[in-house]
Amino acid sequence: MSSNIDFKALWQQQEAMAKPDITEVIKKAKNLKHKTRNKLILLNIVLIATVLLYVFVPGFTSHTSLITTKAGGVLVIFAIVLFLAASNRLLVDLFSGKPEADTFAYLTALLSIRKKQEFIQTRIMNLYFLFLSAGMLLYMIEFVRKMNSVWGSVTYISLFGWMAIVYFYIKPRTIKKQRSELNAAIEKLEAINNQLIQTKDAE
Amino acid sequence: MQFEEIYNTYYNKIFRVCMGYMNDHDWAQDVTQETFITVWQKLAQFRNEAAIGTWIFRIASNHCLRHLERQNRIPKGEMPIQLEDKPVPDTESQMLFLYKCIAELPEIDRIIISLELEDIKQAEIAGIVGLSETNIRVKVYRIKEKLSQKFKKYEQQY
Repeated sequence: MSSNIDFKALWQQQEAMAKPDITEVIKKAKNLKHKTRNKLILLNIVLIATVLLYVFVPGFTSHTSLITTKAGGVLVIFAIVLFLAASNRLLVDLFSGKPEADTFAYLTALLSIRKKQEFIQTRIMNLYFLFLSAGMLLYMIEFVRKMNSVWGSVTYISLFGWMAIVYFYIKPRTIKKQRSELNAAIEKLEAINNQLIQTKDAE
Repeated sequence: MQFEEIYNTYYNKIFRVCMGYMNDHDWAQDVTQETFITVWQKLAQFRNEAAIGTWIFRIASNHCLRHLERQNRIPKGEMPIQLEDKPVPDTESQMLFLYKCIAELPEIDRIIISLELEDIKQAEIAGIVGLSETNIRVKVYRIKEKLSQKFKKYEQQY
């Protein structure tokens, strides 16, 4: 019996559950497009607002005189711009992946995007935290000098404490988690890509 | 071709291909819907370089592959399927068994056999997957062999 099993006939028996209404699909597609765009716009607005805040708070007005305040401000802005550029490029890359390419081309592109993502996530995160912390430290100098020694110490101790937590706890954990997720994805994609490569080689 | 026409013509076909890939109704329905969302978004860019079917099946196959990045659950194909309580292998349980067997194959094989069973020409499958027609012919032959063997074993249980 098995030699003449009609796989095609069996296959065709699978009935789709109720087909969703077409207008629902279109609505979802439109929402998704808006959601992605809004998210990107929001991210940019938040970060640009932060930059503006730094530019217009005392650090950049006539009230401050120390070069460290300005240098700190510049470093913080640089960190934010770096983060902004990296995440925007990443999003653009993610969306320029061509789902209509053939599987082999698509997998190759997806693998390269994932590998790039790993680079961005780890290297840029490191740089971002470095510039942000250095910037904050420099920026605070002028204000701390105006405080009495007790408050000055408290301020710097809390700042260093916060930086230590970020550096030795939050950052490594974030990077490790992102990396393990990405590596798992890359591993799976590579395994599938190998199936294709082996088939090509066998020809 | 209008979106509505595409949707009506291809919905069941895409659903079956997704089912062959993941053997899970809910996931298959999600991925089918994602496929049509992409089709809707990209339809204006479709330039007839490929047949519309090839184009849509490419999108569906790639969405299936992307799906594995998002799920960490056990592939449904590896889970035991409750067929034992049916005394005779009727066509419905045979159909369920077929989808289960396909979902246990390597990912690329799942896509190839699903497209073959969907009656897509092998030249077209080659264009969807990115392999040569010879590759596809050999693959289809081997996969069918494998499936036949599994079915033989399955029927011997009854």
